[in-house]
Amino acid sequence: MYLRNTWYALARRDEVGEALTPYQVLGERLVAYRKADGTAVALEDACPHRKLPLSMGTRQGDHIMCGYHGLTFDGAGTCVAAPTQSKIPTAARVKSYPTADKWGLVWVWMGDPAQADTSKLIAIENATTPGWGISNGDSMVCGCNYLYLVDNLLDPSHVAWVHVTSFAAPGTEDTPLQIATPPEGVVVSRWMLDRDPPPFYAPLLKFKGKCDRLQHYEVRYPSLGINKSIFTPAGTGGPGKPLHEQAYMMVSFHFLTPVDDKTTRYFWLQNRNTDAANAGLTEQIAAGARRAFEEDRVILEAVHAGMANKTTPNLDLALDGGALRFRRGLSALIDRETSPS
Amino acid sequence: MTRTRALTESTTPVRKATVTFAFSKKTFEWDDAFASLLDFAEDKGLKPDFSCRSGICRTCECEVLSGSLTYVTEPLDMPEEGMALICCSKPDGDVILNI
Repeated sequence: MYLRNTWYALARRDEVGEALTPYQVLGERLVAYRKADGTAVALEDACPHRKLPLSMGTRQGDHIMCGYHGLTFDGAGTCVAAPTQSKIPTAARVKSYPTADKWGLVWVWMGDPAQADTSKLIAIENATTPGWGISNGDSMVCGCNYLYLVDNLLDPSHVAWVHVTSFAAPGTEDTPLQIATPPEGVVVSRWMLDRDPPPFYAPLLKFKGKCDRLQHYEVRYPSLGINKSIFTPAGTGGPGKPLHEQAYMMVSFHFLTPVDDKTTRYFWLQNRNTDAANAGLTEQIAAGARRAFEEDRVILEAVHAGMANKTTPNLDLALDGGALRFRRGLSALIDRETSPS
Repeated sequence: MTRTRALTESTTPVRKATVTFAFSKKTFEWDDAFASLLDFAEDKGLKPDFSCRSGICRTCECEVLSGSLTYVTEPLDMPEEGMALICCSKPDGDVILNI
């Protein structure tokens, strides 16, 4: 079961173009392409006759023609031609999904089309703030359920063991975590004071020496991660303190799209408060992020397999408090969506 | 009759209470310096099962034979009537736990 009345990232913007491209989201097969006016179309990837994937058909202008008997549909899924019939069957319809272009991605609304609302797309607070740089982002496919990725994005502790050469630093193993449960998701956070900066961030900081570091791990329902890192000169950071002028802030956005219950498409991008125009640095950060997320992928794929095939019980640790609360909250939202009102 | 309730205030009055561990056949005067009944039990030489120590895994769940508790950390799920998660709770008064 998935939350449906929400936007999921379907593809990176440049993936969707002239070609009829097949995707799978929440276990459903979709075909996507762009109309001549640039609008992205997402349709069920199946002709209503014998369910041949429409992605095996051909484009006829903005329309899509099935490769079996020529049934042709417009971008809204309405049949516009049925060459073998004297009249177009009224039942010849393909399910269509609302789409939106935002943050370099094509988003798809998997629920009731009447409720699709682009104002509900995630906001990126500092996307256009002067002085802030933003990366184009990237994506990968992970062979695990999306909730294991959510767990990971609510777990600041794993960096001490999984990201040894990037995000790990003294304090990441054992500093206690604060858990907050706002209506839109869960936040797990902690300040680590007077510590050496981790290897990934050390060269990016505008000050030398020890730092106060915030790890703010937030996931909004159903699967939008906002990972905020703040580094300030030691002695200037901490809960509730105003941001120091030399503070370095990196906000990493993670968009998890369930392909099916054991596969996830993982999209991300980074937004930082320094070196806005430094393309080389943007590239360096992007490459570092990809390396780190590959480390997560290896672990989480093996975790999925381990949990799916366990022969003895597993246990929960204190660090799972945020993730388990998130799973409860999401289940409640899904129940509310699926129970008749 | 046992009751449980979530903590609503961050400061609670120092509790005067006796804690009886019925299975172990031991009774002690509660010391509110302990963060939880689990910490207290361990200090008294008991070895209850535990895992998360934060109210989510239920490994430490035990029977409350009498008395009531306050949860200093809200558990992921409140235990059923008559049961307690001792890793994240303190006694309201005299309690008897079946450990």
